[in-house]
Amino acid sequence: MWQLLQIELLKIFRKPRTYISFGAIAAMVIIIQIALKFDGRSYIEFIVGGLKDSLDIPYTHILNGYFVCFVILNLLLIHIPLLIALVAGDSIAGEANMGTLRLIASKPVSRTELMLAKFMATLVYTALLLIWLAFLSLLLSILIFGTNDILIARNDALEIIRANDVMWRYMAAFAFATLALTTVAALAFLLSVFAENSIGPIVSTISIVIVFTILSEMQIPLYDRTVKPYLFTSHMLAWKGFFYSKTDAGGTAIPGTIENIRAIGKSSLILVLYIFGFVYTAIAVFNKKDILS
Amino acid sequence: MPLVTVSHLSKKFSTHTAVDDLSFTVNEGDVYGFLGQNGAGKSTTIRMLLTLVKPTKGHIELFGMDLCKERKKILRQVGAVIEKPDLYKYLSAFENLSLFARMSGSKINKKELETQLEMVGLADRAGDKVKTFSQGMKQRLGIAVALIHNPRLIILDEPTNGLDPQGIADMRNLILHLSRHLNKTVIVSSHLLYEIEQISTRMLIIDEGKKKVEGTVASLMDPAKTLVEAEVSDPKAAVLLMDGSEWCIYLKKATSQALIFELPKELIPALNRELVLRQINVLSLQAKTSLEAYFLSLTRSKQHVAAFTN
Repeated sequence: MWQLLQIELLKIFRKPRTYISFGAIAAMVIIIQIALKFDGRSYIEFIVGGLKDSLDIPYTHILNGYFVCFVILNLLLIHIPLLIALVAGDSIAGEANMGTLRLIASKPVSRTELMLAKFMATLVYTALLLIWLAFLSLLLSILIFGTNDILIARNDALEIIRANDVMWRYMAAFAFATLALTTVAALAFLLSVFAENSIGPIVSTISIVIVFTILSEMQIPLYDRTVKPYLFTSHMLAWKGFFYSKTDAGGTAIPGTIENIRAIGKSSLILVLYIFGFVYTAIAVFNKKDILS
Repeated sequence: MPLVTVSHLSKKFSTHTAVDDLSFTVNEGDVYGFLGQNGAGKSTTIRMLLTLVKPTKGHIELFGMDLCKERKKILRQVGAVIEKPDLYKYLSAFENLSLFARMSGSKINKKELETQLEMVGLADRAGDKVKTFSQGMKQRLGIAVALIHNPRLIILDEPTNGLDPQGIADMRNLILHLSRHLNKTVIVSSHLLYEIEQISTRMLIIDEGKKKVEGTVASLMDPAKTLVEAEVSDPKAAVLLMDGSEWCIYLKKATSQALIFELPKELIPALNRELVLRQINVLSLQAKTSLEAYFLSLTRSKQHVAAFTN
């Protein structure tokens, strides 16, 4: 299995297409950092809204590396699934298109092993993409903007988390984001089994994520109860929960606490179930598939 | 000893039956020719031998083991090139070979990989990406991939497709080398009779998924069973004129245009003289081996249908 995983990783990381995602993330993060460096004040004014007239906002303190990272994650974690689909959607369908699927499927390895190795390789790619995002959005932002307390906007309130209480929250958020993006990878992986070229599963995955995201964001009571709780996209943004602390009687955030850990746990469980379901179905379908490509 | 035993194999794709109750055996050391037109069911059968396609019915045994139950053990001893030798274009020849060697479950060192590339004439291109290779070079690399784990059985599906005449000759020589000098058993499929009869020891003709002819090439190409088609102006009258002659034992049938004889090749001149002596107007005389005649009849019938349907 280890050998198969090594082979799959070699295939992923020798393919030029793989690096599009790393390049795209670098470009987007740097563009956001440049914008905030030169016009961060306007962005903070936009976040605090009407409060800027009644409060003395310490703009230079708020515009720090932690805050910039939070802004970047908010903006990018919705779009990164598209980059994940590029590789995961290509994993089986790309091989079918190249004609190599028949060659690898006629080797003395079971189809289940082959699929697990491919999925694990996709998992490694997803994790590396997140580590790359963490490096650029967190470490690079800290280098450029420094560190300080972080201002979190929640519906109609603002919450301040102390600088020494932030880093563990980011670690947890990136771990959760890996789980969320693995769900998208598993979906693309499943769709890849049915296709003979990678465009189909990539476009289908992106379409499903877009439609589900729209449904998750729609404020329609009927869908709130019947559809939203079951969509994986409704749970993908639960990483934000790590930045919502419990508050004391005076409304101050209590360090080291999470307001609703159960909700994050529930979302994690739902995403794990989705991943298991997608991967199990992909393996079952592939095991029965006639390889005619 | 049979190395491959296929019994009553069938494959149905929704309403289309690609392979229909096919049975055959391949013995150790055979170069087994698998002959049939495009769409005859050759590739589907080969894919079933390689577990790429699941049979609807039937049973396959390789090396005396059930293919369903002992898949891994069996495939460790099989090397294959299926249609085009598609490889990872963004990897080098050496990386491709190394990757597939590892997948075949063999521990092969760098030296052995280099030797294999040398054998197929790609040693000097080992580090080049496959996307820069010609079709012939890809085919040779495909062969190297099929042979790298030293398999007992080699399956080549249409191995000369897309090759130039020199490439075809090289492939033929390679197959003969594998059989004669390395004692490999080879199953080679083609839609070209000439190609198969050049290299095979035994062969099978398949058409519309069904076995039509199977046997040793020597017997199927037996000159003692040469078919002679004598095109005559009036076949019915010719049959009457031949009546009572010793040649009647060789007469297989009369069509609306010709008399078909099956006889040893050396008797053809005497047959020609006899027809003339009996005042039968001979328009042409064509001799074919039984195999050639059979295969051509298949081809002709398909072309006939195609002419009407196109």
